[in-house]
Amino acid sequence: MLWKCPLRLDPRPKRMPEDAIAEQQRIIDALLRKYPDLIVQGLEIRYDPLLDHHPFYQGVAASTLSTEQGTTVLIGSLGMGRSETELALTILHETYHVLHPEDQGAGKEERAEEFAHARWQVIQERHKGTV
Amino acid sequence: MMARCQTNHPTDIRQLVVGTTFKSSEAFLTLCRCQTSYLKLLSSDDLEEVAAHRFPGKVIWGAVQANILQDPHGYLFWLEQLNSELRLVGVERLTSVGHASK
Repeated sequence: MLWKCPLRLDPRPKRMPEDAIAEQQRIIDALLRKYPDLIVQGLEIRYDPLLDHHPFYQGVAASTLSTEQGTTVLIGSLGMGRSETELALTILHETYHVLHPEDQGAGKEERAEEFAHARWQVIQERHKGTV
Repeated sequence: MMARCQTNHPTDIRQLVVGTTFKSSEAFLTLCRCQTSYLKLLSSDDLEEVAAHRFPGKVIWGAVQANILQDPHGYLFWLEQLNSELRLVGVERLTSVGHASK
C-alpha cells in the first residue's frame, strides 16, 4: 500500500512579501542617511531577499556582486542583524573587501573585521560631534 | 570526472575581469581547478530565480560555485551564453557569518 505524506514539502523557494522587502531596504537607507560616512562612492547597498529564502544562499549574511554596471553589496537578514551596529559592521566588512581587492592573504577576514570596527567607531564619534 | 590540474595558471580567478570570455565551460573550469578546493557547475535551472533577479534580460548559461584555497568566502562566477562562447558577467563573493551570530 502506498503511503501518502500529508505534508508534502514545497521545494519552491518562499517569496517574501514586497512590503517586508521594502521595510528592510528602508532600514538600510535610514542607516546610510544617518551615517553618510558609511557610503563609499559608487557602491550600492541593497537588501536582497534571495539571501533569506533561496536555499542556495542558506547561511549567507551578505554578498558582494561585481558586474559591468558596478559593485553591489547585497545584505540578507543575517547581515542586517538586530541593531544598527550589526548592520553597519556588515556594510563596512564588505566595504573593506571592495576597497582592498589585493588583500587575499591569510587573515583577511580579521583585517576586514578590524577595519569595520575601527571605522564604525570613527563614524559614530563624528556623528556624535554633529548632533 | 574532473581532470587534474596540470598547469599553473597565473590568473587569480577572484581578479578575473567581468566581460572575459571563455571558449567553453571546460576552459573556465580548467582555470579554476588549480585554485579551488571545491568546484561545482550550477545550471541555470538551479538558479533560475537568482539569475533573473541578478541579471535581468541576460541569458545566463549557469554559474560556477567555487571555494578558493585559503579563502573563507564562497564565490559564484556567473556566465552568460554569448554565441558559442561563455562570458563572465558577474563575480559574487559570499560572506557566511553575520554579526548577529557572533
